[in-house]
Formats: sequence, structure tokens, C-alpha cells
Amino acid sequence: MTSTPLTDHQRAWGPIDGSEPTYLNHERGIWSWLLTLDHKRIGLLYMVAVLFAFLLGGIFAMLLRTELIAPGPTLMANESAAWDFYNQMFTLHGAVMIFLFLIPAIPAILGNFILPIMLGAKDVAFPRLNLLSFWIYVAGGLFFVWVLISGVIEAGFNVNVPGGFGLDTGWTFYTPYSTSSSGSAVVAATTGAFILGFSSILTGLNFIASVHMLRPRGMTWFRMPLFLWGLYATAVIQILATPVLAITLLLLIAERTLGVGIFDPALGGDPVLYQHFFWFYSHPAVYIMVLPGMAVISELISVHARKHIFGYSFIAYSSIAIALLGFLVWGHHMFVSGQSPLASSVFSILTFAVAVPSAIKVFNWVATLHKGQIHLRTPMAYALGFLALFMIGGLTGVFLGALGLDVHVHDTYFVVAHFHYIMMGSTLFAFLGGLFHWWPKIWGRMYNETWGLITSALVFAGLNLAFFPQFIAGTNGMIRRAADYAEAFWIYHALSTIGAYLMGLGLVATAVVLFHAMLRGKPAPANPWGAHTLEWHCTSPPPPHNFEDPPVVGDPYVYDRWTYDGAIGGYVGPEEEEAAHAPAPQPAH
Amino acid sequence: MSPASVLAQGGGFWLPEAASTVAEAHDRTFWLVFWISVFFTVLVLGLVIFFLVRYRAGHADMPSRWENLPLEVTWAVVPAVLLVVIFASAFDTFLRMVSIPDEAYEIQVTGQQWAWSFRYPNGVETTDLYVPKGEPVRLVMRSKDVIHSAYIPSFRIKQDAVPGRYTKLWFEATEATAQLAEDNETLESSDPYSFICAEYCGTSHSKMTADVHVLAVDDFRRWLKEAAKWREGKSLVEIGKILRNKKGCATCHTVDGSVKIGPSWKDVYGAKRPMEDGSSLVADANYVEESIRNPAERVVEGYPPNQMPVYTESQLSDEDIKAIIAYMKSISEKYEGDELGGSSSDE
Repeated sequence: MTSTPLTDHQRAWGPIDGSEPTYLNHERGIWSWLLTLDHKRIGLLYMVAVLFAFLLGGIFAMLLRTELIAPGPTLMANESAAWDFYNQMFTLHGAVMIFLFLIPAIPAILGNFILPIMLGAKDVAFPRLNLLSFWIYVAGGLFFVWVLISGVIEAGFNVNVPGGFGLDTGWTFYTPYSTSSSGSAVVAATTGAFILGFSSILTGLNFIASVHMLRPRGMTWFRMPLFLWGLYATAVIQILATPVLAITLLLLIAERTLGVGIFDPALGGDPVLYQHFFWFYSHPAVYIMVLPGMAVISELISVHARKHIFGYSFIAYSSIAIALLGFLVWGHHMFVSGQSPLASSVFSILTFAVAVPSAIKVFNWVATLHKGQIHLRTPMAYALGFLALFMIGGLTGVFLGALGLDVHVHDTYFVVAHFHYIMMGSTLFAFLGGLFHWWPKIWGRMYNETWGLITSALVFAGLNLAFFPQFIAGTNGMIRRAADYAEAFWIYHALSTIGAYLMGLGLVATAVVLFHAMLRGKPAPANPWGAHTLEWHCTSPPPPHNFEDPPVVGDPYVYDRWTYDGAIGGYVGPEEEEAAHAPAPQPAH
Repeated sequence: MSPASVLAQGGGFWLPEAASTVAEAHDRTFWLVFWISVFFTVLVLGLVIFFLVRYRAGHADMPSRWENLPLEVTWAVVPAVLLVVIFASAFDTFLRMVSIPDEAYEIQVTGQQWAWSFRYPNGVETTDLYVPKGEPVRLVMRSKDVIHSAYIPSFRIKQDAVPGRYTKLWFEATEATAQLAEDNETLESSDPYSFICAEYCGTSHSKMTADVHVLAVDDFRRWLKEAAKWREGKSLVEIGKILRNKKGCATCHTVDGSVKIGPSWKDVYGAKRPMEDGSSLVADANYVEESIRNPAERVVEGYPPNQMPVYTESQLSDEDIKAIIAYMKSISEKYEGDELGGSSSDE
């Protein structure tokens, strides 16, 4: 090792002793990032783009909640302007959050960064495809940016924009509203969603190939970390369901631009057919968002309770069960659409079948805590928050899957509250928990634990205040997607808006904590939590190619051989021992 | 009486008044699922908090791995059994919702952006729904444009109105909300129920609501008979004023000069209007009729195209249009009598 003085760059991004190059500093310059084939750098590219989308979606959420803070127009001068504004806001909020944030968040950011290292591999199976999927994501995202800008141009300058302006169809693009009567930029938005689908498919393909081909010696299917099981199950859905969305959106574009009659009854089509096509993708898409979240939680709870995950194989199988059953339940979005009562009944039973593997996961997580050594660090706080929110989100899902109950609460705020508890309470909480958990690995820097815990409590409180009142509004008959409402519902909306502001504040504070850690945090040890999955066996941040030699692995949830070393603020493992006894490395297959 | 049903009687916080026969069945299922959910939430979160305190890092017990197959099977089977029970209860409720009695009284419902209209067997058309108490009522629904959804929270029922096909919805109201006075005209109404569009349908979706008035059977018969004679003894202007509400014009067009979706009718008749294409014209009877029958032809500057729905002869007769024109004349200062001397003689 040389003793040359460290450059500023090395000091900023190097590992603790600044001696070895890391993936962050071994190459420099803008092109070494934009055209990188390194899965870790691609993960960070995704992080920038996806978090930008999250910021946009969050701003839309704040605006629409502000519009709803009191009955009557709030942000606009008159009623129809306020209604159009609100309708565009809820559409953009939904579309951006789902297509640009929730679907890619965990797989594309955390998955890209962690999956190959967890596999002890140098990269994903197809690094070039990985880079391509990122740029496809950017291209699809630009269409949504255009939709947004066109709305601003039309509203601000009163100029007609070719292809329509803004978007007010709801993220679901229900026909015939989306094909006939709306003047908005439906074609641009659906083209964007169509393109984004390819990004999702390519990531899924890459993960499936990686899990099949790159597992190291000793990692049998049932010694695979549960995070990988979750990503694998997700990837299966991404590959099988996304093409259906692509076809549906193409048909929609064909109908809107060429007048081909598919969904619009005025042209001889059937609008309910569109709903079948749409939900055939979009219900599995819910599991694209939630399964990776569940996968993160399985890691966090086991690591921070320092106890072997309870019921490993049940959790692994339940991920696959959810992925497969998830394909058979789309009709539960359509109980009042005009679908036959028989079809509705079958869909209801199948929906309840999905509840069983979900319940199994929850009970196994709780049992993992039993007799653990629980460290209430920020990732664990998010994991426990996830449990609470997923319970509420999941059980209210039982109301919605139950035929006679769904009829009353369908298309009300009860549904809005339910899916926010699942999407934000589960996916977002798992994502944030995962970010805090892997942040030391990604940047080689520790975050401030006190502030991490405070901000997580703020987000938790804000989320509950924002969405719990919506359950009550919904069961009392407050319909969703309504730009205005009766005085009687004011209290729920006011509480909800205050909660949304609180959550917004909490998320901004969370970003500050993470940024601070990245720039000013204390150097992170290789394994601050004493976890045993492979990413904690290499330095923080990892070297460019992760591992010198392919590692050999055993059970990923055994923690007893890691001991805490106060001097480095992290755990020291049996690495040397293992290295001494390990057989000669062999190529994985 | 189970604790759940006691709470259901008290009602009000979670559910609105239960005012139809299926509402009672619905609420029973609702409270069943509600209390099962509360039980499991308390159980799981209670355990989490207990474990968090009891097994906080630093305690003396060493973490120990344990597996327990019977436990795994138990917590797979117990939820499965409960879900079957819940399904059965909700399925029973659903069957009541979709099994329409043969003798049900039929009312035709049309949804369009952004108003409902209800047509009774004797041809009467209303924008609010009037129904007899204690008799099954069947709504046969159709949409003229995009998908709408009929929703009466107090009856716990909902059904989409889809263009290009008929859908059906039925209920039997259990409480009267209005009485018809002796004069056969005045409706003494307490709080009517809401008839809401639940499926997003564009700009004024949130305003696509109607009232539901439940009358005793005798009152309903008398009201229906009288309603058929609503034009009798009224001037053209009065008829036009009523048609504005009946036909959904009021959703978008005010009569006080303020702008909603479309132009206000105040002072518009006889005024010179700039068009989207740069030309201009005087808003006369011809233009009003064109705007009703073929609204996309010429649109006033500053208003979005394709917002005004087409009204065909069967929805709004030529006589009706005459009445609306008469009403518009009556509220316009720009109008000073027709050139050929014909004036608003009805006033």
C-alpha cells in the first residue's frame, strides 16, 4: 500500500482508510457515470431519477391536498378552474407515483445495488441491458414531464398545445373518457407508460437470469436471502404482466388516434373490456410494488433483531404464491362495473386466497422478534412501522375483497386510504427502511441515528393522520376523485391535509438526514449491523467488482459468529477463518 | 344481541344511516369484518410492542433460533377459516344486492356529464329521484357518454352506468324522508338521501349528485300523477326555467353572470359573441338551438370544446328549446324584442 496523500476525492468517497479504490472513486467524470455498466452506479443513477419523480409526485400530492383543505375552490379563482386543476393533480400524482416511483423504487435502486453483491457476483447477468433499462426509464419519464409542461403552458399562456394539454383521466385511463371526451395529453402519457414498461421488463429479465446463473457455491435456492426471493417473484410478474399493459395502451392509442373501435361503444367497442385488460396488469403491478417491500422487511427484521428469520421457507413460498395468485384476482376492481355476479364471486374467493400468504408473512415476522436481541435503529423503526401499516392496509383489503362490502365502499376514500396504507405504508416504508439499512454500504458513511428515528416517527405520524380519517370519510360515503365535497366531510379532509403536510415535512427532514450522512457522516465499517448476507462481507462502499474471488456461503441468517467491535463501530466476522478453510473457488453455475 | 349489533344500532361514526333492506345485511357483515380486523390488529401490534420491550437488545437471553411447524400451520389455517366465514357473509349480502325482485317498480336512469335524469313509467322525468317506501325499486341505467356510477350511501348500493349497455340496480327503502302536502305540490322534506356519481367522469364529477326522496306509497302515487301535469298553467318562461334544472343545464350554466363550465345565460341572449375561430355572431334563437343540437359547430371564445353534450329531439323537444329560449330572453338585458315584432309575450 502506498502512503501518498489522499486526494480530496478519495477523502470524500473512499473507504475508511482511503487506501483502496471503491466503485465511487475508481473512475471519474460524467461519462463514467452516465454510461457505466456497474450495477452499483446504475442503481445510483436510478436513485437520482426515481427520487426526482418521487419529489414531483409529492409536490402534486401537496397541491391536491391543499385544494381539498376546505370545500369550494382553494387554489383557483373559480370552481371550474379549481376542478380542472384538481383533476389534473390527482391524475399526475397517481401516474407519476405508480409508474415512475413505486414500481421501480425498490427493484431498480436497492435491487440493482444489492442483488449482485448478495449473490457474490461482480455484476448482474446482463450489465449492458441494465444500462439500457435505465435510459429507457429516462425516455419514458420524459413523456410524463412533457405532459406536465404542456399543462403548464396551456394554463399559463393560454396556448393550444398539439396533442392536448395536461392529463385529467386518472392514472387508470378508463375508456371511453380517455379516448373520447378528454382534451388532454392521453397519447403522450400512455406512450410514456408503454416505454417505461420495457424498462421494467428488462430489469426483471436481468434479475431472473442473475438469480438463476450467478448464485455462488453453497447458495442453494433455499439458502438464498429472502430479499432475492422477493425480487425474483417480482421479476416474474414484471415479465408476464407488463406486456399486457403495453398491448392495452397500444390499443387505446389506436382507438384515440385512428378511431379503431375497441373500447368506445360509440365505435362499437366495450369499455368494460378495457377494465379487464387494464387490471390484468395493474393488479399484479400492486405486487410488483409490495413484494420487494416485503422482501426488504424480511432482511431488516431478522438483522436488527439479530435472530434467524422465522419460517424461512414459508416466507419464500408465500412470495411465489402471492406472485402467482396475484394474476387471478384482477376482477375484484370491477365488482360494480357490470361484470357478472358469478365472475365477481370467483374473483372474491381468489382475492381471499391471497390474504393467506400475506398473513403467514406477518406472523412469521412477528415470531422472528420473539427472543431476539432487538436494536431499535432507524431501519428497524421503519420495519415495525411497516408491520403496523401493512396490518391496517391488509385488513381493510379484506373489506374490499368481500363482495357485499366492496359495493358500498368501492370508489370512495376507503379505497384511497387502503391503497395508500399499502403503497406508502408498505412500499415506501420498506424502501426508506432499506435506504437507511444499506446507506452505510452505499456511501461508506453512517447516518445520524437520533435524527433517523425522529424523522421516521414524523413520517409515521403524518401518514396515519393523512390517511386514517379517509377510512371514516369513505365508509360514510365520501367518493374519491371528487374536486369538491359537502361540508359534512370537511373535518376528514382538513385532518388529512394537515397529516399530508406533516408527512411532507417528515420526508424532507428524512432527505436532509440522508444527505447529511452522505456528505458529512462518520465513516461506516464494513458491517455496522452484524448482518450475514454477502454485501456486508465486502467493504463500505464496495470495491468496483465487489469480490476478488467468488465467496462460498451458508445460511444467510446466522449471526452468532459476528461480534461487535466498539473501536470500529461495527461487527467483525469469521471472514479470515472462513477464507482459511474454504475450498478453492470455482465458477458459479 | 351480539356486541357488534349493539354498536351497529348506535351507528353514525363509521357508517351513515341504514335506510334500505340490504343496508341491514351489509352492516351485519361490515361489523363482523370490522371486529375481526380490530382483534388481529390489536393482537399483532400488541405482540410487536411486547417483544420490542421484552427483547430489547442487551437482555440476558441469547437469541435462539426456533421453528414450529404446528404453529405455522395454525396461523395459515385460522385466517383461512375466518376468510371463508367472511366470504360467506359478504356473498350473502351481495346476493341480496343483485337479486332483483320480479315485481320491482322500474325507473329508467340516464347518466351524462354531469347530471342524472330519472324517467318513470308514466313518462315523467326528474333530476332528483322519487321512490315509494317499502316497495322494491329497480333502476335500469344507461350512460350517454362516459362511465358513471350510481351510488346511494344510505342504501349501501352502487352500480356503474356504462355507455352501450344497460345495467341494473335495486333497493327497497325502509324510511320515508318526505311527505306530500294536501295541495299535491309542496314536498315537506326532511334530509333527503344522496344519489352520487362515484366513477370519475370529468370536470364537474363532484357535482353530479341528486337527492333521493322516499315517500309513503300513497304520497308517491299522488306525486307521480301531479308531476305528469307539471307544464299545465305555466308560462313558457316558467317552463324554460324548470327545464334548465330538469335537463342538467344548471350544472354548467348559471343565471347570475358567474362562469361555471359554460357561459352564464345572464344577458347573453341578443349579445354579440366572439367565437373560437375568430368570427363573431349575435346569440339569437338559431345559435341557441345550434348549441343544443350540435354544440361542437361553433364554440364561444374562451370555452373548452367538446364539453357541452348533444341533446337530441328525444331528450329535449323543439318545444322545450322554445321554452328555454323564452327563459333566456327573460333574463337578458341585451334582448329588446325580435326584429319582426314578436316579443317575449309570455311575460
